[in-house]
Amino acid sequence: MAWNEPGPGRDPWNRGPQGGGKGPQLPDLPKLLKKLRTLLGLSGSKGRPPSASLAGLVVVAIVVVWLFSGFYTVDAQERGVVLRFGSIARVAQPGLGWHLPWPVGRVTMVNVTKVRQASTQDTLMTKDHNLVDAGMTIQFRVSSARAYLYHVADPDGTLTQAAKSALRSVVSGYDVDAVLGNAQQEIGIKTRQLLQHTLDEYQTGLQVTDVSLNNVQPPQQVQAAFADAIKAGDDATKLQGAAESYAHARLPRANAQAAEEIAAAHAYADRVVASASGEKARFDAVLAEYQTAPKATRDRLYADALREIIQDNRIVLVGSAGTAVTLNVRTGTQVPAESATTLPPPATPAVKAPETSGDNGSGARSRERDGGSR
Amino acid sequence: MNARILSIVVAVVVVIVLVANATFQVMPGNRALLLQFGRIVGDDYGPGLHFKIPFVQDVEIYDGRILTLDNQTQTMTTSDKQNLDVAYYTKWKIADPDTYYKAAGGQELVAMDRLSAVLSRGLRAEFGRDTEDQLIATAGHSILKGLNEETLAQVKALGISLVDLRISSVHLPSQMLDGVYAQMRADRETLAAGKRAKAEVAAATTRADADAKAGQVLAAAHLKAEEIRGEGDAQAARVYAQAYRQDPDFFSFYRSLRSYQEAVSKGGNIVVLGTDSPFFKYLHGVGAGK
Repeated sequence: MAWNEPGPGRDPWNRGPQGGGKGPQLPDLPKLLKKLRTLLGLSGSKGRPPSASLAGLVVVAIVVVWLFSGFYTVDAQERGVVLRFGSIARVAQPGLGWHLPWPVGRVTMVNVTKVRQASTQDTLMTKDHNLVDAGMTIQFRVSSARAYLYHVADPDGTLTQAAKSALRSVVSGYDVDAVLGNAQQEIGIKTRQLLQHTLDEYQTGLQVTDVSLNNVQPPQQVQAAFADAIKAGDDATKLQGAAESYAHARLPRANAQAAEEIAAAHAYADRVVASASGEKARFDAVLAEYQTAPKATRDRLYADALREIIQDNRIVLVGSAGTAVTLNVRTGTQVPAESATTLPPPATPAVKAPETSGDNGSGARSRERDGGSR
Repeated sequence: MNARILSIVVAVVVVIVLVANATFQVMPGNRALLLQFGRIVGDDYGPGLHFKIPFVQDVEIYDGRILTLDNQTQTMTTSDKQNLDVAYYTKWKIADPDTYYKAAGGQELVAMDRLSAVLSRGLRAEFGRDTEDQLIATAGHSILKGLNEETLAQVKALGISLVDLRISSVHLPSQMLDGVYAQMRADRETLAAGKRAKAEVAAATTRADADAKAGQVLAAAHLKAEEIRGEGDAQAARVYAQAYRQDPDFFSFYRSLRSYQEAVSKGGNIVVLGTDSPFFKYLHGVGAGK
């Protein structure tokens, strides 16, 4: 049929070449119907055989269904890549659209806004020849639907491949401590840049939105050693802390001790001086008495002293002939010479008891003395 | 009438079939080859609609996008005699459908197989020139430039062009791995020991400094205390001297008596005296004064 002969730039409605990027107009249905009706003889012209009408009706129905199959909806997240006769006609924006039905035209939807995620896990070598296990998460989306579909086969796989390679390259420029520690963000940024550069080189139509490292650890075989090194750091801090608190306490403690010692010295000095002053005062009093009556005072003093010494202690008199006797002034006993050469043991209860020295001063003492009278 | 309908239908069908067979579409990203009885008659077709002689001519469609040859692992020996497992991937595409068809019969798997063999030979030679460190350093970069002329010519003979070639991983054989782990452990242990030792030294120094300072304070205080005590003693001595000066003889008499008293004041002592001791002088009689 002449009216639907296809050709470049022509559609079945005989509208001639279309402008690029504009959708085809919807068919002018009323006019079309009228034509069909005329063709099928339903509009009152010379009657056609009923079977012809039926066949015609079927054909029309098929054609209509076929045409309707060219409708498509592009979701807000998507873009539709429309092909016509095998070449790209346009990239359709969200909304309703129509393309020449298959096999002439077709549309493929590509989600261009959804951010998808890919993960990798690998053992990598660092600059100082250490190995680390590192996981990486890459977030990406389609930036060009056209390239995504038709430039690289398996663009998602390509991204993962290139990402692993990029990470390997970046990590090999860092020492293990940096990789395990605070360089992870930097590594993520550099990897993302390298990855995007590679993807752009291949023209994958993908855009990397984020690369982040996670779960970076030393390999299981050496984790114990790494953990101990960290613990060593903690131990070091603890040691320092203990030493510092010791030091902080030390000086105040020393100052306190020093103050105590000086106070004790003062106390000693005061005591000694007071004692001396007391003594002197006592002496002064006695001296005054002595100066009035010297001999009497001397005798008195002497006798007092003597009494005090004798009454509470055991006296052993050693005679000029070598004999000895023990005097116990208080009890008035006398141990004979022979047994008295051995000195009796000290601090026997009978001799002690200064509390009972209230007996002093009495002349009622029996005193015996043997031998050796001079 | 039925015959007429039938003939119309048949005619329509025939036309459709003819038209379908006289045209072919090349999708974007595809390459096409036109064959006539096995002979190549056309190979340069862009995306879109093209025409051919129906039935006489056949069209072969190939995926013309960038394709990947992956999971290739080679055990290489580096120039420093290290055996390493090197994994690499190749990005390639059809350069010339004509040659591609002639070389691999247009079958992608066959082509990849041939490519894999060519590249592995080429890379083995290339890697054999590097040391282990150099090899590891190239990971993540394109090593396309490292292929020699011969390899590139062989690739071209397959109708293929290489877009990229990269090492995806370098794995150490297990004996080497053990060595690496042992080294890592040793390094960590040294680090840990060093940290601990340094901390101990620093702590000891801190303590020693504190002790030294404290010692100074205590020594100064001790000195001061001694001075004070000395002062006290001197003062007491002065007081005694004052007393003494008033009457030296009496003073010594008095002091002696006092000290005898103090010495034996608590009792329980044993005083051994000779009978001719001056202490008992007066026992004989009060006559002898001083």
